Amino acid sequence: MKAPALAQDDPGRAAAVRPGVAAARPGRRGDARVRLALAVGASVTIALIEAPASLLWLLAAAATGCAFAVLTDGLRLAQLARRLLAVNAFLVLVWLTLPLEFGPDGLAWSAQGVELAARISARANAIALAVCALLAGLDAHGIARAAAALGLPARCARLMLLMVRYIAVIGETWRRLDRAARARGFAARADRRTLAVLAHLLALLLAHALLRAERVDLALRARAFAGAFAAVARTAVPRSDWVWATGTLAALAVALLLPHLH
Amino acid sequence: MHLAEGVLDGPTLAAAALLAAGGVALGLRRLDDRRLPLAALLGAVFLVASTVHVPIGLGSVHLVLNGLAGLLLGWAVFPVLAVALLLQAALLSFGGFAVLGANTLLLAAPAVLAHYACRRLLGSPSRPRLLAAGALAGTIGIAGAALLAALLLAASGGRAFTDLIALLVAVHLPVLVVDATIGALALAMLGRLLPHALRAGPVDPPRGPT
Amino acid sequence: MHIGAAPSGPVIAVADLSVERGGRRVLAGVSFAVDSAERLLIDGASGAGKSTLLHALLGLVPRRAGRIELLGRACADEADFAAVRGPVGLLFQDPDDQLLGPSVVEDVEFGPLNLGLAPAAARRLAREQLGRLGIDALAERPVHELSGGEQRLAALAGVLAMAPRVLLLDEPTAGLDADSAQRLLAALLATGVPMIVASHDRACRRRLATRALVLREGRVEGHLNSTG
Repeated sequence: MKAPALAQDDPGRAAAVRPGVAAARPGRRGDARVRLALAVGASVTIALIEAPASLLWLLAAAATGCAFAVLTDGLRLAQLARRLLAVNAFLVLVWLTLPLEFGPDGLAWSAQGVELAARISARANAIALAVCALLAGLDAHGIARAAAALGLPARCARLMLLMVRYIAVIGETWRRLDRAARARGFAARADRRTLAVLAHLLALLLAHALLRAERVDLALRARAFAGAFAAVARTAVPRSDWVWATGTLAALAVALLLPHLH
Repeated sequence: MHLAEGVLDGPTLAAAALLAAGGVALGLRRLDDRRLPLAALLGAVFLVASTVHVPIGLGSVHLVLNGLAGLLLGWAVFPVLAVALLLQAALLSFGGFAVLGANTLLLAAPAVLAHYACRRLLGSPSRPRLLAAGALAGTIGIAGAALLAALLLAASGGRAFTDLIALLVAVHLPVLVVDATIGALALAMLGRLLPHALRAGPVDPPRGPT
Repeated sequence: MHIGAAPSGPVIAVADLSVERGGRRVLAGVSFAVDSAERLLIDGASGAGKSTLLHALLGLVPRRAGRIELLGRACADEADFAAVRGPVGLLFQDPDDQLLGPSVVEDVEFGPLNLGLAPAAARRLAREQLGRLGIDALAERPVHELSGGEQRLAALAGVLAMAPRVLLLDEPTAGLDADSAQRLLAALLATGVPMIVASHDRACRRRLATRALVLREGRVEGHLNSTG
């Protein structure tokens, strides 16, 4: 592996989304901090809700939000499907273990277990739908900027921004390594050769990263870098975000009030 | 590995988040600005690596490599993993915001443990020592994560979660084997490619004269 | 028909191949065939799609449309392609894209190991291949310490070690001095296998090609039968 030119290490490169996630369209313009704050707040709130009626309401509200997001904000059905699949794959484990009890008389059906599993499923799906709706069309850069704007500690924000920039570079390197291996007949199988090859490729990836870090260090020191990266420029929050805010807060308020209406 | 949103209860989420925040703060304090790019690059590597599927007969497992990350990053593994998990939660992958603290804790704490357990093996990097270090780091990383996940679930749901805990631990076993094997082989190869890098301890160098 | 004769029919057949990269159409309606006695040269300016074509032939790049047949087999998905990589060998334009190291001999044995050879046999085969290319002195050297020409030869050794029946070569002589280029071309001729060479180097064309076609902006522009 030869050392790439120093210019390529310029942290100013525009980067894309990490590999494995469909590239986001340059969808929403403007600052995403309101939406990120909503997503975090909604997740935390919903995670604490117990009442079945509230959870059903939230599922409906979140699904509606997703429908809007698909129509107006560039939420791709493929992304939504992938997330729901991931969440529900875990929930299969929950359903396999909670409702059934292995007692001395064999399998017993536990009503409590079913209830708990149902509650967990509702929460998990409601949160997944809400987050999908609120964060549709955002790429890694948007997230990083939004998090920084929301007051993440300075060094943490810098770490996040740097990581997002390097994800594209490292992802590209991995693709090249994977392609080199496949071009010479490698195919991932359940055998020891696969583990050996993947370990080899991982080592090359790590070496690449460590070498690049050395070069970045040299480049920064050559420019008498004193340790402070530029502050993240703030842009305006799009008006549509306030609509989402109203909708989300209203839905959450209803969810919290529902149990008290009987 | 990660727990999904909506499983753990409030107090558990809060306690885990608090502990994770402490770890992140400590990690950030020990990470000086000059080493930020290195930590970010390694974080990117582990994020990319986590997308790799390894077939194991029935289906496949993902690489986790939290132990290896801890070995190379030290306490900095807390903020690095927290950021990675935050990105995953936001970019419509797995995980979540409410459970971010818990997931950070269960992945990063064993990673730091792996760091302390294995880093002396990096001092004189011969192949057997590197293999041992990688395997040990991988084992501590996954076993630790499974154990912490079990503890968090137990704290949340008590007896109702017993079977779930058992199933999760069982599911972690092939992950452990894969992570330990790949970690060992990768570290040994890395020792051949960049011997000086390992000896210096990339991000969290052992205390001593620089 | 002689017993043991090579199967008739083209070793590579492409019909209507279209490839898109980042929303841009890189190849459009490319069709051609190569039979077992040919060495086809593909000429064209940079960006015309030569590399993409070679990568698509090996299934390393997804195709939008079209049909690819390698060694008589239709190749549609990754499993089909994975089965013929080795018998169909690709030499990348940039050795950096190909060499995995760490040492030269370990890199050359990478392919044979993937094909299922035992470690000792693969190592032996690798050394033999290095000898045949005259670079056995480089066997233990780390890959990144080699010169450009040496890297190209090492990469070629890695491909030839898999006993390919067809070769795909992406600018094999680019960046090489005249001497190394001649050595490389001689080695390629010595293999006796059919090949597709993407190159705008005259020496390549003169020594290797039996036939040529030109790519412009992703389309086949002309078929040339001359080797001038």
